[in-house]
Amino acid sequence: MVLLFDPAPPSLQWCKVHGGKLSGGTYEFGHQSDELVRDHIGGLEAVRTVGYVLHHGGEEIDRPVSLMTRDSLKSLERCMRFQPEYNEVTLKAAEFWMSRLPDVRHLLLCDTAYFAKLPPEASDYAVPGKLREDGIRRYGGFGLCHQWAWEHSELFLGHSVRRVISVYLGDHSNVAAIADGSPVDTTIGFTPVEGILSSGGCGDIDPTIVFELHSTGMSLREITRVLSRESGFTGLLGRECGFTDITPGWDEPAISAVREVLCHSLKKSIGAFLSVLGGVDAVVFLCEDPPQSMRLITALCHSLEFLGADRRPAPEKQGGVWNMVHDRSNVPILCLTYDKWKIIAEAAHNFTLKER
Amino acid sequence: MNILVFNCGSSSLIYKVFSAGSPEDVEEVFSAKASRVGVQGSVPSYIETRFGFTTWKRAAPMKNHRQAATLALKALGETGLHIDCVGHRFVHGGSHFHESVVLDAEVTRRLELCRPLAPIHNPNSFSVIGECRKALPDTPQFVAFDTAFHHSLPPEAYSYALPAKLVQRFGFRKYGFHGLSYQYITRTIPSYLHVPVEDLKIVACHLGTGGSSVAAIDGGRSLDTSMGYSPLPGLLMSTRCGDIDPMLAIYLMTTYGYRSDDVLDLFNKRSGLLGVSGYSSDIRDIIVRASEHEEKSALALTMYIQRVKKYIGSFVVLLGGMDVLAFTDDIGLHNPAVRQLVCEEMGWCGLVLDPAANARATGNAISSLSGETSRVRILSVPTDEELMICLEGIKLLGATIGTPV
Repeated sequence: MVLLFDPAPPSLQWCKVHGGKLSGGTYEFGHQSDELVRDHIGGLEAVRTVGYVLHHGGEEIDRPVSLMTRDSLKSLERCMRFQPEYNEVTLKAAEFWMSRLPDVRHLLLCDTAYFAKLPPEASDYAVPGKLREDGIRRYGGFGLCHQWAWEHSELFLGHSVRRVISVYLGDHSNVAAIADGSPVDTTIGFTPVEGILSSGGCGDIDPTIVFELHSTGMSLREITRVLSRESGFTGLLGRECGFTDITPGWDEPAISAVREVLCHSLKKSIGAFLSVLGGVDAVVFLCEDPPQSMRLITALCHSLEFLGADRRPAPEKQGGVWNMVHDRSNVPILCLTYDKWKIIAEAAHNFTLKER
Repeated sequence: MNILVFNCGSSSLIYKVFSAGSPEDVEEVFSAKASRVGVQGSVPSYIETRFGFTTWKRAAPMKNHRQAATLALKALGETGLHIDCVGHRFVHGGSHFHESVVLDAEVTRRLELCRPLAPIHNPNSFSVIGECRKALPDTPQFVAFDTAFHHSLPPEAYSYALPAKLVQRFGFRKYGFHGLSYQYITRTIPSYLHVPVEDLKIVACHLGTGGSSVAAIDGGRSLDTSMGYSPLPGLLMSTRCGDIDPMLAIYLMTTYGYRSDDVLDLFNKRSGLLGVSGYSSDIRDIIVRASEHEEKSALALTMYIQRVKKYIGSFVVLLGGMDVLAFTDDIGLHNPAVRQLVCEEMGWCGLVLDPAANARATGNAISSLSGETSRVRILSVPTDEELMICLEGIKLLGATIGTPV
C-alpha cells in the first residue's frame, strides 16, 4: 500500500493506493490523524511507501522524486522561505509520518524540481547579480504534471517528440516548454502568482502597481492577499470563480470576458514558447475534464492554425487521449486527462521500480 | 504653416520647426536638441542646433526643462521664423486622452490629472507648455500622446486580472507606450510595400537606447504591446528589468527590508542590461564584451534577445500570423547584430533574414532585410516622433490656420 499526501493549507489531502485502486480525501492535519488511520486507511501494517508533495523546493530540491531521510528533512526546512504556507504543511506531515512509520520508504515528490536546470535565460530575472546569487529566480511548478504530459505524449504518438509545449488548464493554469524531455521555460516564476492568471492570482501584471498600492497605505500583507487570492478569475468576475465555473458559462457575458483574458494570456505564452523552442512538434493540453474544456481548447487550437495545425471538427478520443487534429496535421495537438493522484502515484511507483 | 514641435525626454529636449504645405509636403527647417538637461556631472548641459545649412553646438546651463524651453524659444525668436502652432509630446495621457488635442482650459485641467502617471516625463512637458504660453500667448498649442495609439487595445489585452474596485479606483490597465513611433511606422510601411494598411499584420520592435517595446499591429490598430500601466514591464531594457514576478517586489521588502522606493529604483534604474552584466546599460558595450566571452555580458545579451523573440512569438499567435517584422529606433535601426540574433531560429513563423541586406542597412532609410525564402517581410524603418507630432498638428489645426508659408 502507498500513502500519498499533498498540502492544502491548513488541511492535508491524502490518497491511498492499494491493489491498483486509488481512494482519498482531505483531513485536518494533527488531531484527525488517528481517525484517518482507523476509518480510511484501515491500519498501517500494509503501508510500504509514503509520499509527500512539496510545492516549492527552492534551490534545495533538484530531483522530482527522492528518498526522504532525516537529513532531507533539514533541507526541507531550508525551503520554508518559498510558499511557507504549503511547505510547512508538507514538512509537518513528513515529520509526523516518518516517526509514526520509521521502517517504511518515505518519498519526497517535488513540483519545482523538474525545472531546477532551466537554462539561465529562462530562470533568471534581469535584476542585479547579488539577488540572482541569493536564489531570486524563476522556479516553475507543476513539474510532475508536465513531465508526465511529455512522457505520455511520446507514448501516444509512438515516437520521441523533440519540442513539446505542455499546457495545464485548471485553477492554476500554466505552460511549460520542453526540449528533448527537459524543460527550457515555464510561465511560473519565483512564486506561482506570475504567469497565467489563476482562480485568485493576478498572473502577469505591471510591478509598478505593487508600489502604487503600497503608497496608498495598503500593507504588504494586504497586497499579497489581493494579488494571490482576490485577483484572477475571482477579481475580474467580482465573485468567487474557479476554472470549472468558466467553461460551462460559455455564453454568459461576464464569464466570457474572464475567459477571453485567460485565452489571451494562454495564447501569448504558447507563442512565446514557440520562439523559445524554435517551433513545436506537439502541443499537449492537460485538464481534469477534457469534454467540459473542449471549447476552450478548440479556441486555443484555432489560433495555431496558421502553423498548419489541421483541426478536427470533432476531437476524437483514441485510447484515453483526445486527438484534436487530423493525422496529416503539421502539428500534433493532444488533450490528456489530468488526474493528480494518478500522476503522483505513477511518479512514486516509477521511482520505486528504478530503485530496485 | 510652420509647426514648432517639442519632444521632452527624461534628460533631453528636442525641438524642431517644420514647414508644411500639406501632410505630403513637410520640410524640417530648424532642429535642435538640448542634452543633459537637469543632469549633474562633469559634462555641462549643451545644445546642438541645425538651421539652414549651419549646425552648431554650445554649452548652456539648463537646470531643468523650463530653462531649456526658455533658451529654445529665445533662439527661435532670433531666427525670425514665424510659428503658427506648437505641438508637444506628452508621454502618458492615461484614460483621459485617446487622441491628440488642441490645448484649452479644459484640456489643461485634464492634463493635470495625468501628471502622476509619468512622474519623470509629464511634469517636464508641463513646464515646456507653460513657457510656450508665456512666450507665444496667441499661438495655438496642441498635445500628442505616446499612449494614444494603444487606445485600440481590446479588453482582454489591456485588462489586468485585479479586483474590479481597485481597477476603478486607480485606473490600473495596460496603456502601452512609444505610440507616436508606432503610429509613424504604421504610416510608412504600407506605402513602402504598396499594400493597404488594412491587409497587414505587423509586429514592430521599438528598440531604444533607454526604453524598448514591441507592438502587435493588425490592420493599423494596436492589438497588444509589451509595456503596461507604466513603461517598466515587457522587454529587458538598459536599466529596467521588464517582466518580473510582482510578488518579488513584496518579497524584497519583507525579506530584505527594502523600502518601496528602493525596489522601485532597483527595478527601474539598476536592473536590465546593467543589472545582469554588472558592467554597462548599453547593448553595444554588452555585445562587445559578449564577443569576448565575458560570462555576465553574454547572459545579458542572451536574455535581451530571448525576451524580444518571446514577444514576437506571442504576438504572431495573437495576430494569427505575421506579414511584417519591423525594427525601429536607435538599436533597432543601427544594430545589425541584434536583428540577426532576434531572427535566428525563427523559421517556424516564416522569418528568414538576408545577412547581407541586414549588414548593409544604414538606418537612414526604410530597408528590406528579408531573404528570398522569407514568408515575412523584415524591415528596418526609421521612426520620427517629431514629424508624427507635426502631422497630428496639420490634422488638428491645418484647416483653421490655413495658408502655407
